[in-house]
Amino acid sequence: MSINTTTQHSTGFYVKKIVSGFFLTLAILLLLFFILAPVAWLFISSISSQKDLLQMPPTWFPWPPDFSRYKQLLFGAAGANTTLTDFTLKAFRYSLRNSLIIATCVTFFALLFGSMAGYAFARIKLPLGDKLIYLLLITQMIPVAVLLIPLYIMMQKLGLLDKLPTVIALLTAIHLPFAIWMLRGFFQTLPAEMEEAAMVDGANRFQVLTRVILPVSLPGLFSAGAYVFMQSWNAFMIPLIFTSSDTTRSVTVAIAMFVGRNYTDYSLMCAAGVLASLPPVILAVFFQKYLLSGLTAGAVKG
Amino acid sequence: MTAVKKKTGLTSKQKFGLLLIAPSFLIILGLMIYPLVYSLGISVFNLHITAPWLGTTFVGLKNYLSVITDPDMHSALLHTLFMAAVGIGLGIPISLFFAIILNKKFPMRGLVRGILIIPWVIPGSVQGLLWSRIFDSHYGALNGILIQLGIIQDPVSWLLNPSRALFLIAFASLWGAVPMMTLLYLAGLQSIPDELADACHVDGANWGGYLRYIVIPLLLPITLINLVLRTIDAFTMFDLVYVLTGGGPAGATQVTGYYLYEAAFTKLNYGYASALAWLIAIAVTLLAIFYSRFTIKEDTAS
Repeated sequence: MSINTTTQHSTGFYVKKIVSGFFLTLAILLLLFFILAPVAWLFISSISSQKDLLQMPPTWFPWPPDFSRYKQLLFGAAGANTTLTDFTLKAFRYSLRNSLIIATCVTFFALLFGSMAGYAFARIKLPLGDKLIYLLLITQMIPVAVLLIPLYIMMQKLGLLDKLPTVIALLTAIHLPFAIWMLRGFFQTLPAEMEEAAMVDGANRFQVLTRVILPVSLPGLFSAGAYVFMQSWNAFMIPLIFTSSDTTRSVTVAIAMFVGRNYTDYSLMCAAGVLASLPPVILAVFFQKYLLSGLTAGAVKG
Repeated sequence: MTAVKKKTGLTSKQKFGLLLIAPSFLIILGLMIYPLVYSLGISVFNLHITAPWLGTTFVGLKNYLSVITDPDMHSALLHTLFMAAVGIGLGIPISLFFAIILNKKFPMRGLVRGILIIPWVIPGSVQGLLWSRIFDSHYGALNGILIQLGIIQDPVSWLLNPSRALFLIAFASLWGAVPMMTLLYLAGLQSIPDELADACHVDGANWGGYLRYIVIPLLLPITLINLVLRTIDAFTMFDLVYVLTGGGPAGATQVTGYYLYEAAFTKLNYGYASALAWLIAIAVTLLAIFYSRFTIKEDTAS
């Protein structure tokens, strides 16, 4: 009797489990489709031939894949039968280089100044310290749109328009409050005894910062750095407004120009889009943990 | 020693601290605080950009009045609110659903979470390119799928139809925002103790009951955060509109963020644009305060 009920119960249990497993699998597939289908189409378009894309319905899975656009974008010259010119390809390569310079420099300066200020706010009781922290919070809430016109007029007057250092300085300023805020939070989690011990051993304040604090702060610096790198690589409005020539344009702006000029070589355009997305996507997939701790700290940025 | 300390009022530690915050403070003062004040000035003065010999004249709140009474601005505001409504109405159920899935245990859950954040990290202009390949009037993927499924016979010009274009841009923008909304919900779900779900089961409630009596009420604060973030996003939306439609067709996708850019950098109407930027900033801040008050009230009530 008792054995019988147990068997009945477990059969029902397994049926239920299989049914719920089926629905869960279905739901996961739905999620993956929603997220990946648009990206997958960008990638598939980039390895399709012109003919595959210019028919209705398009070839969903082109075979064999054609990676020649990537080679052409990175190293090659424009072919005879494209609407492209060598100049456009060169401008795209410039833009990739510019974005790399911009994102690297912004990350470097935001981390350098951000860790200095973050350390000071976390460890030293400064005159007006509390008020300065509030100022920091307020600057983090300012919508960038309010700053664009005055910054543009200022840079115009100083003759600094269309220069990479200007873009770097502006993006550094925009991301600095976040970097200070996040690194301050990180430094607060480190035990103060560490510095005191080093001071007793005869290290000066600067040595304490560079030899004791910095090495143990690498995870915090990496999180803030990954977030700032992604944000400055993806920046669009600042480079769009503050640069105007092919040699200073960022890759995000170059992509927008590609779409705007109505090239019909869709595969080439999509390959350019894939290349422009690679650095942030690599950060997202391989350094997810760091990027997300940056996200939680920077989520409220308007 | 005490005399020296009295004279400057600062310890050597504090001096070191001030030295550390000096670079950040100068950058924020010069590139954020000063432009912020400057921007307020521009909004109440006429700079006569096209006729500089006229000098600067004080115009008071005239620019603010012309923003408030501008019919083009009214339609941009309506479109922005529509964007926010789509982002909230579709985004909240979709991201809550995704969060519930990701809160269950299944193989390769970490990988699926890594994939989830991809839309969030793809640059805005590449997202524009990606959706332009999907919504293309002739060879777009959406037309391809719908023709293959027999839902439509001939390709549809998705973005050239005023009523569709706005919804499609709102959907594209939502796609980029779902990862962050989902992660916020996921963090909320992980804070709900398992015992609550078990107790719910014992009481005989089904999945709908669990959702209605536990998940939705307990995640209300997060829903409100998502509401704020979607609304702020709608007000500052720019990249997708710039790449996909440029505000067209016939102003159907004109939103406040893009309208501001055009007023400032196409029409060079700095006074009007600064007033508009300030009004957007004020609206966004008020919304944030309103929602945060509501959140706090809900917290104390429960």
